[in-house]
Amino acid sequence: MSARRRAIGAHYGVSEWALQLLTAVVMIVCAIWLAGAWLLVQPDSHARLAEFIGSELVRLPLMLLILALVWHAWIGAKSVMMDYLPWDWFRLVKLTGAACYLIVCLIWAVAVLWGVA
Amino acid sequence: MADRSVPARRPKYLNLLRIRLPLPGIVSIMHRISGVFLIVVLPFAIYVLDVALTSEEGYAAVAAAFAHPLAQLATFTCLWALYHHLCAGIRFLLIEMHVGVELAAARASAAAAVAAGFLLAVAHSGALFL
Repeated sequence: MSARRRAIGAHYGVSEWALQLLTAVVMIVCAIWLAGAWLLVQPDSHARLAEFIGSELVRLPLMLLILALVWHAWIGAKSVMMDYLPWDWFRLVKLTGAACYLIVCLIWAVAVLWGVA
Repeated sequence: MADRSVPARRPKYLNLLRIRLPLPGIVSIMHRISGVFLIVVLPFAIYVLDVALTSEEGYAAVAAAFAHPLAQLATFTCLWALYHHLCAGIRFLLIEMHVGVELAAARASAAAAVAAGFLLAVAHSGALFL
């Protein structure tokens, strides 16, 4: 057997594991930043909330957090479904369904964030 | 000697009803359950933000809705899932970095993750609604 050939697995798992960690750390950093900004500004009316979300110091980290979240959720949902949903024929449907669900969430969240003046 | 010509029927999926877990295992499965739960409630969170941002009336409607005890209970549940997922996730990050891998430390950090997740949810809910 060729030395280049791997004996087992396609090693998808390693990169997914690393991405799961990376997106988690990105979310934690963004969340700390946003929580600090929230406590500093304390937006307690519609106008102040719109101004808060509309400022780039909030919108960009929030955008990054949502991107990391959707990616993190995709990897998590995929591994959970592959572990517990025992219908092989259903695999494409459930994975496609989860992907569509998360893509819709992402687009909707982006539209909400950029809908603010 | 085992017959190797016939592949063993290895379990491909886990039967959740036959599993009895120690505390670190409970933290782990709660991490998964809270993760799935957070994915399910994600559209509701986006919807609430959407309504609150769209107009003054929407903001007032959201504020009024969160005065209801059921909405507050739902918020607490979401926050608990979030903080448990966060605490258990940080615990996993530390274990990946070989911090607290020994059995006693792993059990202690599992208990700490459950307690911290719950207490953070209580504190955050209290700050929001009391």
